Amino acid sequence: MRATITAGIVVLAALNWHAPAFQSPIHFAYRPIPFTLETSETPERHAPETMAGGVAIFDYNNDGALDIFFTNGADIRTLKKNSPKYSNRLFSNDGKGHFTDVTEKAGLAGDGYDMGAAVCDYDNDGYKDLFVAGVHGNHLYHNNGNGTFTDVTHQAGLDRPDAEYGPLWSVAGLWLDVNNDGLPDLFVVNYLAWDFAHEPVCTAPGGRDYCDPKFYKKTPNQLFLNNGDGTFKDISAESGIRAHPGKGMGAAAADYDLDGSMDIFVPNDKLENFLFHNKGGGKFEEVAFEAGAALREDAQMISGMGLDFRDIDNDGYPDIVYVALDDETFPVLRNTGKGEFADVTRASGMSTLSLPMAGYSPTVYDFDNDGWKDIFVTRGHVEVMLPERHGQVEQPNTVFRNTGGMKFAALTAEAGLAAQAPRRHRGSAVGDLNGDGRVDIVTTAIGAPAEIWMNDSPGLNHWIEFQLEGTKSTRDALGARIKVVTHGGTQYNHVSFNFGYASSSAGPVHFGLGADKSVEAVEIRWPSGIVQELKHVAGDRIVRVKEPRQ
Amino acid sequence: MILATALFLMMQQDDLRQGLAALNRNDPLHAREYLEKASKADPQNAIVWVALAQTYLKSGQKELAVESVRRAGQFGAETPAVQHALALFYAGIGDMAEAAQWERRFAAAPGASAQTAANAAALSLEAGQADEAIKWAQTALRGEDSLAVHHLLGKAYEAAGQLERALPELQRAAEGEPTPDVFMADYGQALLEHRDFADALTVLEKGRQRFPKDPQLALSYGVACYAQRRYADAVSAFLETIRLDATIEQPYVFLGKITEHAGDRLPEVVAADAAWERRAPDNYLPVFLHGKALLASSAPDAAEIETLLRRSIKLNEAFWESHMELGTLLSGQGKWAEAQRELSRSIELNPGEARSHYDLARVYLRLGKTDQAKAERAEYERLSASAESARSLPTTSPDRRE
Repeated sequence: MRATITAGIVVLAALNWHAPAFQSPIHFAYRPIPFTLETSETPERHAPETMAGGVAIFDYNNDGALDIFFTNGADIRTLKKNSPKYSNRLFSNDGKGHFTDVTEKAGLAGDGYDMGAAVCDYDNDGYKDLFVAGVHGNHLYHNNGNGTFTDVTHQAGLDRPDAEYGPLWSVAGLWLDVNNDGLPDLFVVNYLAWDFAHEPVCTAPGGRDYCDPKFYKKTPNQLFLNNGDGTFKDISAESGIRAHPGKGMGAAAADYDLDGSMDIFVPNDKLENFLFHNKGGGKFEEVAFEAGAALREDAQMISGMGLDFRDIDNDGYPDIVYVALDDETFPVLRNTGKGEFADVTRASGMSTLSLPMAGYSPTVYDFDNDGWKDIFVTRGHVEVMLPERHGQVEQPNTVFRNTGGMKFAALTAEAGLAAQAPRRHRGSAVGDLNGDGRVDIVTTAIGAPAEIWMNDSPGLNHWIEFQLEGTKSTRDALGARIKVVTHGGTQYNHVSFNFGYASSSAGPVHFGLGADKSVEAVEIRWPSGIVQELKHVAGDRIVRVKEPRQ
Repeated sequence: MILATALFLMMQQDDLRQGLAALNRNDPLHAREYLEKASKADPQNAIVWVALAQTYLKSGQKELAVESVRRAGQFGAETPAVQHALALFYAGIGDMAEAAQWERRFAAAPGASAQTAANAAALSLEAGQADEAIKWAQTALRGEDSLAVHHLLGKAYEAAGQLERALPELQRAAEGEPTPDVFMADYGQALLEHRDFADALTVLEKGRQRFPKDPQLALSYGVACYAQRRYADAVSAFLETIRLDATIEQPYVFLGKITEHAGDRLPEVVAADAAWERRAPDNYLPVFLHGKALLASSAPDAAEIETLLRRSIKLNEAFWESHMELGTLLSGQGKWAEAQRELSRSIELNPGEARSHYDLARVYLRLGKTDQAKAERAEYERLSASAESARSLPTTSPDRRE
């Protein structure tokens, strides 16, 4: 036996054979895009300067290719875009992953200190519109269907400062149909009470730094009901949302108790999180404590950042992942199916993996098409880059591969994500930018160029995407729940465009199929209550499904 | 008559001599016999009383020893040799204040050496008399510019709360050649107290390279890493401290605070705690830490942990943290009533721990006790807010996000 092995070694050596390097099952290739996130960083370290960076992926011109929109900052003193460098930017995709700047023609340059991008066809006209959340000013851009947008904020009634709190600092928007009337409503996440003239002074060795959120007051989130005529009604108070002021850093929607109404999870920065349970009829109750989602399992208040809210373990119940800063972990909350969540951060391996990391934007997608959704996280710390700061302020992004049933393995350099220098990454959006069936990612970073990460993962796994069109439900089918059954197993997902940090991913709903070339059965539960079934659907394509008029 | 007196004195001196010789050869029985004779012959001879005091002490007759030494002080208070001997005696019985007082008298004598002043400083420091220690260390330094005396002066300043003055002295001692490990450890420790974590890390790292077998340096390095939130490095340093000297308690306690950062070294932490538990089966702390370390694993054995926590409680019922961890563990298993008992007991023992209130609120909710749940949650919020507010005081630095 030994002689055989020895002989084998000799032969291999003669052939100059090398053991194959470990090939990561998820891999990305960097591609540049000419956009730099300018936040007007000053020595005074005003809070918004480190918090910008929303990005959206959506098909703005209905040409079948996913385009990219970036929000951008402004002069921090005036909150005005007094230089072209502060312009928001829209890039049109030629369908092969090549982008052209069409901002000027689209009329989306903006004028304020912008943060979040929330995509949705709010008027059900077939063209995706854009809500831009910002510091002391939000904007609703109506898509005219001809490659241009019109700022309709005032007409929509979304430009009024809060009577009690004044102008609010909005981080993100979340479109969802809170009362299942077929009209997308708007939830606005507000961070904290900030005023340029009264910035607290916080010092660290080496100079001033951004302050802890404890130095600022809480503000309430808002809920606007779509009247169906281009206007919105502020129902923040009557819905129960306003009764819970916080320091929200994101919001995502899912029907966690499968009662047919979309619920909302809001991670707060150094406060208890909010889980707004939708009681129907536009009424909400805050149940995070009761549901076990208010705090990390050790009852610590952490720096809750962005989030995603969808089924990770393929049991049909939407789970929650939100991210935080280093030494705080990226909590993973498994939906038990009994109206509550179990903190599985430690059991999933995420605790150990994420402890040294600071995260901003998590997105739950199946990046290797193996049938298990993975978690991509943009990373980077809040602080400025002081030389003695050990926990690196600038960090590479990381994808946490779901090795099955909510066990994760972290891939950073292995996944190609160290190909660019570490940054203070912020927003992220995902979608198949080049039509190859693999989900790509766009990320932003403070004071740095945006990054496109083209998914070039190895393997021959199959996939399928669903582009839903509601008729009775919202045109975007917000909240529609899709169940996919293959030989390999059953998976679930739902239509929700706004998640991560201040970002939107408004492409079709993606499923990895592993070795299965087709799907045995598809079940779509539309928010209208209609249940639609499809049989024997071929994979490796986008399937367009229209809600039947029942 | 003159001859008789001379003979008597010779005999007396002979008794003293023989008594001292017996004391030197550790023969307290004969020493006592000769010295008692000598004391009767010359009851005002302080040297005899000092020698007798030592003899009585060796025989375990502390009261007689103290009485003898009192007489020595009575008759030889101005005699330098007696002063020094009394300092040594009092140091030996742990009365450092008295020892320091006699050594200072000795050091104040004309022609006293720098070493004597250093001894006075060291004893004063041990007696908690920092100002005297500074004074005598400065005196010693004027006579002998040595690393040891700089170290002593630094420690004296440190004890007096004058950290700014202590640091240069300790630095000089630590950076001189040859410096012992303790000087480097003390300088690193002082830098830690000064919250100068980066410099502390540098000094302690250098110390560790130079004295890789010194557990104190490894421990201090771990503490510096802990303070700098370099938890993975801290875990390594604490494990190394245990490897070098498994009897030091602090590294186990620190590891218990950062178990979640142990990562792939968690099995080593568990093993270290288990080994300590075996060595000290009656000590609740290793049992508790062992259970806590097991809790940090990704697939904890709840039954084993429950056994450990219950045993820890049996060994020390008044340790709140065991009750809290057990209560939380039981609530995770849906054993609400038992969880309520443990969490309530934890709160009785330590009402200021916010987490116990939060967990108890969740348990009350499950038991349908909504009013109690509300009350506990309110208490959690009150404690969290007050902790947050305490962290916001201007004295806390840095103020940035941590």
